Amino acid sequence: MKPQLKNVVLVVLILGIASLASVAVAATDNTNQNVTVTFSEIAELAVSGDPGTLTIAAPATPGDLPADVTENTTTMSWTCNVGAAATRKITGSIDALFSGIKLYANVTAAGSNGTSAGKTEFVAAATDYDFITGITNENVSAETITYTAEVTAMVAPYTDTTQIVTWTLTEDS
Amino acid sequence: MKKALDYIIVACLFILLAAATVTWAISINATGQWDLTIDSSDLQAGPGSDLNPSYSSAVDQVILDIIAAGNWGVDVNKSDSNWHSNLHLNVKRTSDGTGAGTISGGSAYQEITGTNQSLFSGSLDRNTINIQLQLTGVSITVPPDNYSTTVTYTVADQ
Repeated sequence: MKPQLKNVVLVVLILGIASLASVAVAATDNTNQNVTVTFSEIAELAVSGDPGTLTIAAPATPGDLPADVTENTTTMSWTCNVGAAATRKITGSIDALFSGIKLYANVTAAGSNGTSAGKTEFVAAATDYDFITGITNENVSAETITYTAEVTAMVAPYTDTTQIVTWTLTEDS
Repeated sequence: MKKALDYIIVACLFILLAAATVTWAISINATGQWDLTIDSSDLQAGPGSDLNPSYSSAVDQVILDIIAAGNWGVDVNKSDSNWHSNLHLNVKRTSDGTGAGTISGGSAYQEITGTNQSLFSGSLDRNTINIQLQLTGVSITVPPDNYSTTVTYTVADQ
């Protein structure tokens, strides 16, 4: 065989061996999937029930007004979340006032990151008053609601008069 | 001259043989995704209670199919678009799938992180491998938002 042709064959052989050696390359592939989690806004509020009757008793001393009466057998629980830089509050309103009586409520916030407004009067009917403010993401249970009836003037006696207090968990301004 | 021609033919056959053995492919395909909504119905006991802390997808929420001619391993990682540090995404294999090959590992939940981690391994083709996902760390302290991440399954021959 001519030397040039021999060289060509040699080169082709070497290339073939090189190609065979290059087969040993790791193969890989990948695939994706999406996971989405929608965290909804939550604002859940509940009270344990209706308070007992606030019964105004005769004063010990004639000429005095009857003493204040308190009732604290009910509790309030709530669970809420808010977006960043936002807060919630709990407000209360009464549908109608009692004759001759100022009605107050006080909701404790011992387990809350919010702040209780303390003893707060329902001054006018159908008006929202703040009772706890600055609430962020939390779940709080069994905070005590204390109602106080304060006699402001002697009026004709009445019995079993019921008014409705509405508690609302809402966005704080 | 005839001898030279023989050499050329042998050389060409050699090249063709080498070229033919290069076409060894491995592939993985995933079907399914997980969309989870958490709202007030997920409270443990109504107002005053926290959210359930853990949520699991269906056992076949994701299905993987692997085509391979030899031994392989599957790694998993995730890339967050919007995520909360309290949330943990876990994954496990819930079936062996079908096929001529073998499969092992990955049958207990492991957390998916931003770093590739081994999930399971096997050999040859395996189809319909069921994958289940789990979200933990859920509580009312996580702000409301839409959280999302992309899970990547990577198969490589071994």
